[in-house]
Amino acid sequence: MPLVLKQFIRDPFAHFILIGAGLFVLYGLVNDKEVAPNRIFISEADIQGTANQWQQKWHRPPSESELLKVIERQIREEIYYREAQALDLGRDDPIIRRRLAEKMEFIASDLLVPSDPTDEELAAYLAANPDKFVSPVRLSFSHIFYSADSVSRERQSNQETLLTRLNESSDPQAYSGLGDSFNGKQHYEQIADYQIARIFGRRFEEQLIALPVGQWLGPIESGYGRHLVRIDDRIDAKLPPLTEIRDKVLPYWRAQQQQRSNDSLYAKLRENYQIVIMTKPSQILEASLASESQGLDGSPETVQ
Amino acid sequence: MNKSILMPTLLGMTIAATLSACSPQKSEETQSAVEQSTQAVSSPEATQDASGTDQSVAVNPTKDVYFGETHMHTAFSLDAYLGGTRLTHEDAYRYAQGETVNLMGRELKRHRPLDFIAITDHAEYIGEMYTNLTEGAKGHDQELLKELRGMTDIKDREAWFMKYVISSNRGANPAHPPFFTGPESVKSAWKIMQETADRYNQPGKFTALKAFEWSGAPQGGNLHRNVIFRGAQVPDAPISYIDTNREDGLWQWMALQEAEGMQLLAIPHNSNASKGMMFPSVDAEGKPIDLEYAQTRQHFEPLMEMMQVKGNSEVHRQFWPEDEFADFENADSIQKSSGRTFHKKDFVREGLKMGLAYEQSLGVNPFKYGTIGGTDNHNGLPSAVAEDSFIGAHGADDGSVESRRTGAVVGWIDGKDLSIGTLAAVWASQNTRSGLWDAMKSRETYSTTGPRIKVRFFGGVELPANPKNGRELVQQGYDLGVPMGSDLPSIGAAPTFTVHAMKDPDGANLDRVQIIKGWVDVKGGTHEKIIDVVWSDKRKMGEDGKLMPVGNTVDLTTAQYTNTIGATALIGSWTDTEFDPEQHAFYYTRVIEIPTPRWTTYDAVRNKLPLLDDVQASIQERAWTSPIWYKPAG
Repeated sequence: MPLVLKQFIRDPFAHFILIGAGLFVLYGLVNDKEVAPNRIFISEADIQGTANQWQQKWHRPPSESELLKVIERQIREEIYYREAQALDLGRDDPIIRRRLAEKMEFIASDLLVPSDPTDEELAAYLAANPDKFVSPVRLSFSHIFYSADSVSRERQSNQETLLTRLNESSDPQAYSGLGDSFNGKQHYEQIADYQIARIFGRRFEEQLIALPVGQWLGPIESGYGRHLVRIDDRIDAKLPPLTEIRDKVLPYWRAQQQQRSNDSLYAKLRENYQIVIMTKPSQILEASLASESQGLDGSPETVQ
Repeated sequence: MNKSILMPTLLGMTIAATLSACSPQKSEETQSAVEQSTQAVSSPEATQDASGTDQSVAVNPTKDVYFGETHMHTAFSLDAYLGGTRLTHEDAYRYAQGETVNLMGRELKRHRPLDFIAITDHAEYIGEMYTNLTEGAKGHDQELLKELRGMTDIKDREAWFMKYVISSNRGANPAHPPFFTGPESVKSAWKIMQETADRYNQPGKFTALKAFEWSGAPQGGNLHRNVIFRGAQVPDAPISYIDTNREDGLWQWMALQEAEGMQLLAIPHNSNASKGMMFPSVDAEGKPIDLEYAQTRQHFEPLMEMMQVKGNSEVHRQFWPEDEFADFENADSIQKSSGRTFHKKDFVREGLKMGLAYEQSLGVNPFKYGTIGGTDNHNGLPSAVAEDSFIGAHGADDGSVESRRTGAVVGWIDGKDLSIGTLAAVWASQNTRSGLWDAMKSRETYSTTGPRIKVRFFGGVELPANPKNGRELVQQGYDLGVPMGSDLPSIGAAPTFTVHAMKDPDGANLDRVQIIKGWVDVKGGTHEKIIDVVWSDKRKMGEDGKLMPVGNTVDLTTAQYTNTIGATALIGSWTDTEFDPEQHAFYYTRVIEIPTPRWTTYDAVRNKLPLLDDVQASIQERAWTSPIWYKPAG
């Protein structure tokens, strides 16, 4: 294949023009049919296609009478289809409406797949959406565990005096061996926030991460009981450079572009319609607003 | 009539667009790609020693537990695609690691990343799906596939599936559907999967195990197996039931791969739907199973999936009326289709017992199954196992509250009977392909119905009773006994079993830990016994030998529970004083949570709908460990 043609075939904009042109031609043909509504044209290719489908399905070619029967059935369908269209029967049929609308949306979103982004575009996306890509917060911390399975009031008051004692102690290891036996470590070194959540539970991690460094505090609650804690060191979250996480950013960028394209297409289409809403919907609705709780607030649903 | 303004609008838009569109992959089917794919796909694992242990990752000799998925489908499974699934392997790996994916217009993200997944698309149609998904692939534009891609209604898709796929695959000689373009398409699909797995596999952080599902179902009885490879090396195509329709054919193929230097294992599942064929007394030819059959099966199949979205296979209340926890996700409606009537021998506990009887008569246990979890999700979402966020597992069939309450996954199960899947838990020395696979092979695994319960289980004559804490139990367990999944050595004295269970730190407290013992007498009769080993809230054992129920804090009007009952951790031991050194036996543990709302209750409360009266409103989630076995000497 000549190089120029190859390049042309790879060029997204060329595709776009070609598709558009194709659609216009098709559009013209459809309009033609509207001019001659009583003509049904069965081409050689149509018949060949019908015969092929028969072959695929039954693993043998059709006989002439079989083929004629299928074609007659197609003609019948076409006639009733056109009559139904002429009467606009699809208009009030919710299934047909939904299906056509879905088809249109489907085709449109297929045509609007974004091309490959430049590094600048990705960097801009990364800068605008840092939350998705930051490295975890890492903490070094020590803790004294009191199991929820054996709580007593006496021990709780002891915890307060213990806190004071530990904070006044000159021995940083003074906590060692205190409290109940925890099935894990009493001191963690540079452990990532999500790992803390995994071992202790999410609520514990959220509370711990908000505490200042260098002081015995608490108690804070985990899935297993209460903990006195001291954060010994903290490494804050940071955004890695694009070069390190390009593969991670790309799918997010694509999803966003796709969404934007779909939205902007819809907006453009909508501009062509004059939309009149006679009454405020809120006036129609009673105070009892039906609540569909799932997935309507725009934020990702979290699953376990 | 209205004139469409879409086309001019499209043309007028300034957004650059390409045609690659609905295909997640660009065509790989260039000459060179096909040539490459005919050779074994392999990529070097990170530095390995002779045993295959990854030297670049730290090894913990007392093991860590890793949670993940061993059974799930993406758009490369034809049935999943028909359900509307468009998520690919790429999406599944991203979702597993806590990134956001888009499922039919909904943004989904899991707040607890997984440690590993094995994507197990049906090997049968990956070639067809490659052709269908890949613009420019040979045969992409054939009428049947255009029809497939154009269908938007689930009913049409189901009809299409019955017409072109089911009709060709349920018979004695299953065949590819008419839109199959040839073995090169299978290789192309398989190659994409392997490359994606290698790209996402990060030793020590996240493991992408290479896998597929062989979906044999002679006479509609479910004999499906998930096949998981140890390393990066795989053959140039998987085997499907079109190649061989029986499990012995699968094992022959696996033996060939072993001869090529690969290591692989198979995990059967849904024994509940096997029509008596999962734990058979005869082989595929109808001959009584023999020593060779038992050896082969045990060699290739160390694990069984205990429960998945289509029901619990441990036990069924109808056959185990004495087991007060047997009435759990029994999925009775799968009996409505395809003549799948339940038999006692379809359930894992019975299979384990029959295995002992065969071991006594043949010398080898053909059903020596450890326990693993999986979902069988057909929506591209690995281990989406939380009751409070169940969104269905099969795309459109169960993707809405209404369809789950009143509909069905056609040919399989009523929506309301769906049981969500189970989570796989693996005690491994490192989170790598070899580390996880070796632990699976040695059965040091368990499954949970969703919560991240942690459970350790050891057995041995010398194990001290009443371990003080988890650390001591683990140390003594490895030093003086054997862990879950292993064999007790021949012994003359009663073994002691130690168990430590910790609740999910974000979940519900624990009710109790049980040990289930199965054994066989000299005449070959099998027996079982359930022992409550340790429980919460200082409850007294009743005179009938039953422990008082733990209670129930679930508020059915809000779908909330409280951890005011139950324990955060349970540790204890049990010595089998009835132990007879002449009897083959197994022991596995079941850890039971306090009651929490079932997904149907969350659906009802959130949508202000009445509770369904024929499903349980609250359930006791649980974990099952692999058994420890005992075989008499001689």
